[in-house]
Amino acid sequence: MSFRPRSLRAIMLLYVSVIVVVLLAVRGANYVIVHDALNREVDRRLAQEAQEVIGEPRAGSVATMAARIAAKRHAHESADLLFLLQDRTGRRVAGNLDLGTLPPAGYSDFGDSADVDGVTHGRALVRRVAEGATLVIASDNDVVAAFDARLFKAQLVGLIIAVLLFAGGAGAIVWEVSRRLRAMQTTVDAVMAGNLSSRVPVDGSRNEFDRQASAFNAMLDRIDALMANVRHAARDVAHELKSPLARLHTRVAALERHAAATPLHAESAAILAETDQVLEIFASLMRLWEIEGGHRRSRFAPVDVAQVAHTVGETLLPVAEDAGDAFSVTTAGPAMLSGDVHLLRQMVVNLVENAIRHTPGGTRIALSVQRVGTTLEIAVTDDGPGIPAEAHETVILRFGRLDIASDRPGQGLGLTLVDAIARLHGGSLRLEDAAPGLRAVVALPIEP
Amino acid sequence: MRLLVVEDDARTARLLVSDLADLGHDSVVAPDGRAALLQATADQFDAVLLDVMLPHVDGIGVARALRDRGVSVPIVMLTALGDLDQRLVGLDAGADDYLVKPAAPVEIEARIKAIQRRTARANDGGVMRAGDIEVNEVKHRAVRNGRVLTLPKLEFQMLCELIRNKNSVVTRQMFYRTVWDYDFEPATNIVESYIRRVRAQLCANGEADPITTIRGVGYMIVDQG
Repeated sequence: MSFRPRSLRAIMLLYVSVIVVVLLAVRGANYVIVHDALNREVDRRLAQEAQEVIGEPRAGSVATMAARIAAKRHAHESADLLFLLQDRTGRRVAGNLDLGTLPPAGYSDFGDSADVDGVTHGRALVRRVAEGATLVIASDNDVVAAFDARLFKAQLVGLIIAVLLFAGGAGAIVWEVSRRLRAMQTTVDAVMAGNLSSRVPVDGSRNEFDRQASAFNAMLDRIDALMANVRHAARDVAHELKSPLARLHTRVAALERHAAATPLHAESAAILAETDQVLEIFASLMRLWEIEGGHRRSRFAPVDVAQVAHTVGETLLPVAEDAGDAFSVTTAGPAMLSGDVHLLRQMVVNLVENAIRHTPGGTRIALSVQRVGTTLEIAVTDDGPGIPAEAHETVILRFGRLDIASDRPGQGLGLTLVDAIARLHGGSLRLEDAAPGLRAVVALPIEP
Repeated sequence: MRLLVVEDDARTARLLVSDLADLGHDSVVAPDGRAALLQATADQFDAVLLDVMLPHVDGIGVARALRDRGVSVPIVMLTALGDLDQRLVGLDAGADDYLVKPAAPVEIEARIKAIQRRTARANDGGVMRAGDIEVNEVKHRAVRNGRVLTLPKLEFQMLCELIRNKNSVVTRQMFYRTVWDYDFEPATNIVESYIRRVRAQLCANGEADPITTIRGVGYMIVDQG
């Protein structure tokens, strides 16, 4: 199993950990080498002194050694050393070292507990010599120990500073990279949500992040320009068509008036109705573009959706009655949210009209507004023929009218407009099977 | 009527002038905001049709300047679709009404007449008459030939609009704007449904129907008196 860190944070954590381990090893080795070298130097000197006392090759008698010790005690280069020579009975023959108990033969360390005057860190060499005597040479290692302690402290402080620098540097890199990536993510989210004018902040430093942000922004500019071109082209076409269509409509309306009581009347009335429908499509398309542009969000104000449902219900009741439908409105107290009252009104009108227009006479249609958690659900339920579940998404799409009965009115933009208005308010439209019939539910967040 | 058409696009202006001429109206064209201001202050017009997007001074600026100079001529703004903010700013600047381009000439004519009615009727105490029908807007009371009509709020408002604009057409758009405050056209025949109810009340005793349907445009009450 291989572990490969994926996140920047994990990579940096691994990097800093490796650095710490390596630093610890290097600094530790450094300390151990110096420490050992110092100790070896002390031991070498003790051995050399002992050899000088014993004499070459190993001849000296106790008396000779005592004389040599006495001589060394007055020599300058041996001033920091302590000597002891005991005969086989354990009696001191020469030297100035006082030890309670003798250390074992060979090298050994002693401290305060040995109670040697003025020595807290000492090193002793004990050797059996001629005539069963014992020679002890000890050195005062206080200076060496102090140096050793300083060396250890210096290595430790150095290690801590280096670790802090690496960890801090890695943290700063993670923070800065994350901050830039977050800024880019925020922009991507905004663009995905339809705000094509959103851009990644640039600080003008021209560093690699700034250059990348600029390149990203340039790409967004390009997309925005292309989208605007498409939009403008569509709008231009629509406007170019709408002027002649409006004039055509005027002329057809006049023709239809003049043709009253002539054999042409039925035809001219039909042409007028067709022209009306084409103009309706244009009006709906323009409306859709206006809503999708998102500019109307700046005019949001508190709206009581329950109140909107009641006034729309009042308005459409005669229309439903004329269509032979039973229409009712249910709300549960005020239902406030921040929105565009004109658009919300149009949304509810479209929802109810959709039910009236796409069901046969005698259908029961119910409009309701209720709070579900943090959303308001505006629902229109009918017990008409309904829409197959697989077609629910299609009918919301632009011109996605279900062509079961092509003689029914409607240009297929009603639910698209409802969806666009819902999305402008941070909500959505969904269609459900009311078994029998259709249930269209707009869920709007109370706090967008 | 004598109209000032403020429109920078020559082709659109020419078509609009010819359409209005078909309805019997004389028009003068001003191609930009500055010319519009000069014309409107120097000359007398029955109404100004004001495009919003204009060179030099835009339509909103023209409306504001005219009102600042005390010129009270009815102003109808013509705006592009999808620019509701401009429409609202235009109304704030002193325009009396707005229409989305391209507007049908009959709609323009109906709007201008409606503005003229509104300004003419200053102190009628809310009482308006058309033939044998009398409405009191303040008291919410409608009477035909001595018979009190039972009209719900919306139907009553429709009747008021028809009588206020008697002898000229009230378009569907005008009903949606004044009675319902809708800035869109519903897909169902809301106006037709309500007119049917108003008619039913007006003709409950078998009287003649006073409301004339202008196909494809709207409705009108004719008062010969």
